[in-house]
Amino acid sequence: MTFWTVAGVVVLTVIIGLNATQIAAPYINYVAALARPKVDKKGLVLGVTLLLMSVLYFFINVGNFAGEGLSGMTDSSYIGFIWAGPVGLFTQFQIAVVLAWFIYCAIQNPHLRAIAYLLTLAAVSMSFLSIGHASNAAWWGKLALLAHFIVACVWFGSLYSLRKLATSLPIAEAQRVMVKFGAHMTGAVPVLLFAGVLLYRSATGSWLPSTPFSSYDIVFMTKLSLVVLILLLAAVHKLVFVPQLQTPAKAKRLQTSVTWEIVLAIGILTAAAALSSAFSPH
Amino acid sequence: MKTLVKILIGTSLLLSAYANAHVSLVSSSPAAGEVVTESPKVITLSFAGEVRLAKMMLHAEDGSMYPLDHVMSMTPQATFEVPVKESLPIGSYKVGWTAMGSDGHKLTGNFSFSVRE
Repeated sequence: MTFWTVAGVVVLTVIIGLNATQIAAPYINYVAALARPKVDKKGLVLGVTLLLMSVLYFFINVGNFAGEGLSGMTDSSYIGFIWAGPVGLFTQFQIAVVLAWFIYCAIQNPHLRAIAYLLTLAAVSMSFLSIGHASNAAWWGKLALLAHFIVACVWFGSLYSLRKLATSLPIAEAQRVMVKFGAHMTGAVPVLLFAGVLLYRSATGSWLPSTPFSSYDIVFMTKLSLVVLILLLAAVHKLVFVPQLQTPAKAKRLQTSVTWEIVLAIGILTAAAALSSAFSPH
Repeated sequence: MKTLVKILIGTSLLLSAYANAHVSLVSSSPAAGEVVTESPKVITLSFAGEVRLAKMMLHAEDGSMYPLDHVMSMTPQATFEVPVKESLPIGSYKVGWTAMGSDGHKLTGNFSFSVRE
């Protein structure tokens, strides 16, 4: 694995994380009944960061193919080559995501905002259908990817806000938000897991990894191990920490535990980015 | 934060330990290891699936490069025929190629052949 591959995986992880935050934004506002600012300045900063990361990801791919060190990132012939391929299409969709997101952050009209959000969601979805094995998958493989991706985005994209809300809201209100989130995720996680199994079947042609394990299988099993850990941690939150959320000390404990959930989520997103950009199931 | 950095480094190291496998080159002309008696006018690469050929280079044993009439392919295809611009003198040659799979992944490979009397 080269510098370019590692750099690509890291930047793609950041892009997925930013997309997850975008996709989860209206959901967490709804669950926590948060008032939305007139102009969402943090959202605009997120959009600018996403634009920079998408451009960086594109040029990392240019540099990877040019194979001439950092100077290869500006090779015009390779820029044209990458732009005409899956990574170029991914970048174009991510630019569309940023434009739709800027509208979402800046406008007040709820109907137009809903349309801007749906455009953001559609462009994010299309971008991830353009790269990795999904670009060649059958319709059900693409559908599985979308279901898996969107549920994971809503879950992981909510964690940072939930971490803050654990201690910033009055305790009873924080508990209400956590209970609601836990109930929603209890319904969504089976969809996430079922879609994940279908996704693996679509990518590899088998239901489970078998020996000899390919490098794709090993990364997949690493991701699966992290998924098991995050599910266990989420279960502890739902069954123990949230019901006991009655004092500031318990709120702090939950906040620390959600931090660990975020760390696990970053690990899962990194593995997902590697499966999309660095490893092939074939 | 330190924990996060450790996890990211650990993940990178884990991933770096494994090589990836993609659509492969199934045949070429001249074939890998083949000895030909005439300088080839065209080098043909055939892949297991459709790819876009980005780069192809032909080097002699002493490292000198022989030009190929190759332009980057903008549309994916499974077979590429690349003309050799100069007649190759007797010796051993190495062909290196770089292509993009239909999933956007980078594919690389090389093979050698010889020209003998």
